[in-house]
Amino acid sequence: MNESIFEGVAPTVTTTPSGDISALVLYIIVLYLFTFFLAWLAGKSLQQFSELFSKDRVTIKMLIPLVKIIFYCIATWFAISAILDPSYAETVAFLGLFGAGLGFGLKDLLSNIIGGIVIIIEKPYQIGDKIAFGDYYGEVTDIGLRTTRLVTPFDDVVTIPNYQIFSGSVSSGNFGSTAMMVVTDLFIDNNSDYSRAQMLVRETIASSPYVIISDEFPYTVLIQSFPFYHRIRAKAYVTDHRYEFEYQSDLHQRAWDAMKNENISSPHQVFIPGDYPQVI
Amino acid sequence: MVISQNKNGQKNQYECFLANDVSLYPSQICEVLTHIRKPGDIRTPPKIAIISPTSFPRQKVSESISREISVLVKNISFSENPVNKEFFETLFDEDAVYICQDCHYLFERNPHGFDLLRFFLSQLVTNSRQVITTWNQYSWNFLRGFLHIERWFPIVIFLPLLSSSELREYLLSLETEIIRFAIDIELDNSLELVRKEFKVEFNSLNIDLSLPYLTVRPRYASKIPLLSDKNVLPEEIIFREIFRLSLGEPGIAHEIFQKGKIDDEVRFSHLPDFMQVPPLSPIDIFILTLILMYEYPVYSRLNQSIHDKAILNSSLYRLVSAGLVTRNDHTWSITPEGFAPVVSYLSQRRMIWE
Repeated sequence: MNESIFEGVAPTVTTTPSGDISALVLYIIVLYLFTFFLAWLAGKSLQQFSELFSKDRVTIKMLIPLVKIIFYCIATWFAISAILDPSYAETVAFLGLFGAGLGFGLKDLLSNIIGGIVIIIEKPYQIGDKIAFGDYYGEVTDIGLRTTRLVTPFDDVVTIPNYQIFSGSVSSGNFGSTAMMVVTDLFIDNNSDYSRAQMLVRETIASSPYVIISDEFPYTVLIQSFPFYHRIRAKAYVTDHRYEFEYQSDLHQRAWDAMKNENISSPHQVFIPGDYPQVI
Repeated sequence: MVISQNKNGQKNQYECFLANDVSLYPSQICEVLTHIRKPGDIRTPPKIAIISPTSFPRQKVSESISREISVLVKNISFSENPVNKEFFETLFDEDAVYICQDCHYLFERNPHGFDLLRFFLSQLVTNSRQVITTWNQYSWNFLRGFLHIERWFPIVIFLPLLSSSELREYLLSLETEIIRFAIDIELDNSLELVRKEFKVEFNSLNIDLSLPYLTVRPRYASKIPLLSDKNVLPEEIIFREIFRLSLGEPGIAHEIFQKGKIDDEVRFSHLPDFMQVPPLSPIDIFILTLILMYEYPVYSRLNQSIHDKAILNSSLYRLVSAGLVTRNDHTWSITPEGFAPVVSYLSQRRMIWE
């Protein structure tokens, strides 16, 4: 009985154009939300998984931006197919026009995305690296399509547009490895025994909980003399770049404890902070 | 004649006839003996370093060398009593072959902590005595990076870990009675997570990549072919388990073997479980490394490296609670069942290396 009613009605029901568009918009929103969730889940899982490994943490994190980009490309393809259902020729034409349109209208966004792709392919830095980018220094926590995120030593999150990779220079302290060379300077008075100071700094490095000393990761302690002081420059690899500041603090504290016992003192000359980079 | 293979895979042959039965490392013992100068030989003998991951193999090799040498042998162990510079000034006065054991106790990981070792090395190369020294392998590797210690020792002999069959042969050789083996629990053949590495080498580019991955495997799947011969199965399974727990280190394997032995029967249920290392702080990891490097350090030695007693005590408490470290009177050491996981964990964190 009921079936006959619907049999009569169903073919006569027509959807309005606005209903089609709403469904399409809803579909695209759901698609991107789903993609966002998948990308987030994959990123989070890889992040957690990478923490199981100490040495290879950064290698695994390299995959995160790549996986995200693949997810978003697939989602975009589904979205375009739903809107236009294009043939091959239409796809080519669309991409041409879309590219031109983006080039004019959204060139900043586009250059950010291209910057993101360049970062993934060329790998000037990876997630987990300690980098100096422009005025900022910190650990890369995310490489997105549009931006790169750093966490600075002061726990500030810095978001840098990816296009800056084309114009600025980037230095990576560890470049894909968890081990990183840390350079620490100590200044001693001209009258102090600098050879003994050098030896004590060496022994302090060797007894640090944060340092690796091996054939693969050598250390060095250099002395340079200036008119009013000697500079002792200690270069050593920390086992994990996350210990950079703990190591420096530990080195200063224990080296000075040892040096003060042997009457090695800091210079009497007062430094003006602004002069510091010039004396290096 | 004994043939030994060095780390580079090159074979060395030694004309060597041992007067006593030697169950461990005969080729390495022969190699040491070939470098011992005969009476009347006026050439300065080379200083020798014998290296192993724990004290057990070094102890056994030193005892064998002492028995084999016909001239006066003086044994000195640095692990027992603290020494000072004055001790070394007259140490090598007597005409004898000196075996200086556990030389890794001569340094402490703190500023000023290497003075004694430097003095010892200086004394070592300024006398013409035959000196054989023994060192912990992880300490030795650290000293190679820090001091290039190998420059003082023209002859360096590593006592390698034993293979599964060598370990079995050695453990059975220590038993006077016939030993029975029993699998007295249902074996947990569940899947276990194993970390492996996929190595890719591009020789032309001089690039070696190592990609880590996790895989699962049934714990005892490899024993399935043995099911056809059920008499062999328990012994085979128990020795494989001992090898897995000890990595082939004879001292550790011997302790685990003894733990599993009740009268003349080794029971699977009495073997310790394979341990997992819990998350540790950098200081915990450092203390664990120190204990592995010194083997049996006293509290004061650890305190020289970690001055804050509250931090040191809390770390030791965590390591003991995790079953990785044990305390015997005044010394701390890695537990036999903790040895393999600790070595793997510290290697992964670059605190020790091969």
